[in-house]
Amino acid sequence: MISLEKQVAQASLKLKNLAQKSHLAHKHRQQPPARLKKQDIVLYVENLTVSFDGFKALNDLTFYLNSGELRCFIGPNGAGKSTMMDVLTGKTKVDSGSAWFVPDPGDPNPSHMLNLLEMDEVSIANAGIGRKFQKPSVFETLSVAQNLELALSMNRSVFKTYRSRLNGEQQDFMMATLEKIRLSSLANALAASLSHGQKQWLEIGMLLMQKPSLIMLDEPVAGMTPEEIEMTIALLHELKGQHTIMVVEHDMDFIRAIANQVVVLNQGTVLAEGNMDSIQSDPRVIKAYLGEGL
Amino acid sequence: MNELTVQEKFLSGETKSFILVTALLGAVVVMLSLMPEGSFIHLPVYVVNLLGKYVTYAILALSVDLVWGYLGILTLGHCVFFALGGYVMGMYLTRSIGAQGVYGDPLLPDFMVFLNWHELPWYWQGLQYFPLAALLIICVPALLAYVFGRLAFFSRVSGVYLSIITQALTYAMMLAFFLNELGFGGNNGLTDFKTLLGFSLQTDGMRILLFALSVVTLCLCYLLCRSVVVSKLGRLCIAVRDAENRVRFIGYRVENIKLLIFVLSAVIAGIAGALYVPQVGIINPSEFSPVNSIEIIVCVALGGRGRLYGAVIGAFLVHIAKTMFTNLMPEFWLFALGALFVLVTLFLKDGVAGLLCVHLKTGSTETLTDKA
Ligand SMILES: Nc1ncnc2c1ncn2[C@@H]1O[C@H](COP(=O)(O)OP(=O)(O)OP(=O)(O)O)[C@@H](O)[C@H]1O
Ligand SMILES: [Mg+2]
Repeated sequence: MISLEKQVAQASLKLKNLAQKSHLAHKHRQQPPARLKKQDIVLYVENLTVSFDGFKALNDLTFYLNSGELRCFIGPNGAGKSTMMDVLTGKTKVDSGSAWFVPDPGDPNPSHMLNLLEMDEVSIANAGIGRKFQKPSVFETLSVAQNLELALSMNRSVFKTYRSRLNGEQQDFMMATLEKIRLSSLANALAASLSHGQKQWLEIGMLLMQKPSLIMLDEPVAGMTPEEIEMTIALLHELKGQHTIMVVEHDMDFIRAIANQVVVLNQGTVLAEGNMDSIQSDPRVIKAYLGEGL
Repeated sequence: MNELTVQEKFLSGETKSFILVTALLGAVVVMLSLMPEGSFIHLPVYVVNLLGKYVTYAILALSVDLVWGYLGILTLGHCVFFALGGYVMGMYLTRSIGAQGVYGDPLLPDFMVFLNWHELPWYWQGLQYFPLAALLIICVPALLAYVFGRLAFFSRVSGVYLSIITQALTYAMMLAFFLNELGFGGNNGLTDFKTLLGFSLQTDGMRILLFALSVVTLCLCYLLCRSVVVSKLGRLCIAVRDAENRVRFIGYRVENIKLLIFVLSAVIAGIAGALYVPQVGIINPSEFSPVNSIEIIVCVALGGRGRLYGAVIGAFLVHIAKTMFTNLMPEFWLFALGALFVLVTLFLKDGVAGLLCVHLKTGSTETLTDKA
């Protein structure tokens, strides 16, 4: 009998300790970056390192993103561009570093900043970060409109989803998005029947439906015809300013057409940063791309 | 174009026809069985009874179609919920036997007297009341599905591994229910039922009534599934089936979606089981057998996964075939089942419903061109 009581007491002590510890852990968790004075930064990425079996896909990567900015990331294959997006969207865990996101650029309160490395992909998406993957992924057996409908920003709870119906305003928003991504005439077609470029657009459209404040586009014009690329450029110019946008691309003409600020990644770290011309004449960049024909 | 058709109509032509045809066939069966005996259109009651059994399998197939056809989870153990619903019903029916048992014990079921038990285990208490039994028929499968789903979906087990676990679950349950000590009648299960809600189970009227009740339940479950499938939640299920990770990146908790649908499906399966037991008059651990669950998967595959009426058609076809095989050459049934599955996956991807759909579609376009 006595031993049982002892056990119970021990167990409750352990529980208490555990609760305290987790409480402390919560208190001691990483502080948001000190350099908060600069008002318009929405993404703080500092010293990110990710390794796969000893190979460092990201190596001490640091950069900051301003609100409303369109920033392009280039770099040779395997430079870590997609891995960077994986980390920021909760898909890949880091070894070290920090990533803080300001969900509402108008809100200067640092305690409202979000530590992206502590969040999973769902909460990151709901915090306002949308992503287009390198490999287009849309829901093939649903129609274009249905794809957009699922992405529409609204309460994500299962029961709400069961009862949800599009209201007039949402329908108009969807129409407008369809217009933007040039798929109005194909709204009721199955996503599987779209061309590669159209699927890319549909994915961008789904992003827009989410109304994210930060958009990440991984190779948005891969596999598009020149006309389609032109239209994508026009679309991005439209979006510039309304959202903060990160673009990863290999197509230099496309980059030149949309961006003024370009970051070059190589071996998981920032190699150079600046406008397109200064970058293309940078000897380090040329060396990194050697044999790839920049 | 300015028509956005995001959501299908709940009562589509297809749904209306299904309900109409099912109700009509059900009514015809009831009427034929009520014809005077000896008249050449009289349907013997044992056939009605058999059909009633098929209807409960159809309900089970419907529930499997929801999780496999729409959500993409290949469950190889759905009979676990069917059997649990059946066992709860069996317990109620056993308690209703009362003192009419072989040993005449007013409280203890025969098998407990036989095992020399002197007290009714706690989980048998109160089961003489139908409302409690009805509640448990829903809650027990739901609870198991919830616990299982929490563990499996939230640790992100999926694909083949998940299928294997579902199979293991039903197998483990079968072994557990074989144990006499568990207090569910062991090997023999529960049987020798006498009455349901005070009415004898052995009368023709009761058999016909149970059949009719099964048909009505099938229709109601169909409508319930239909309401899920046409909703945004239904489209979300399809999205999870196609690209689960993508769904996460647009901000939905995939685990919650899976959990809800899985629990819903388990409840439907449990209800089917509860209707099955009074019609066959017995429930024993063999209902948990993994083969049964695979049979239902074959039903859905044959009927056409991702189409609700397909599951129903498949359930009838497979179980009619099974009845024929078990009468003529029982030892070949499993081979036939396997062969059927292979043939369907190779040559009939969309199942019978897919075939029907193609035929109906081409039919309608023909009439259109005729008019033009
Ligand atoms: N899950 C993983 N496991 C092991 N290695 C990985 C994994 N993901 C990425 N890598 C490796 O990390 C490196 C960076 O990959 P990443 O996809 O980020 O490159 P990238 O810059 O996007 O290249 P690309 O232009 O070809 O898309 C590559 O060498 C890749 O092989
Ligand atoms: Mg990449």
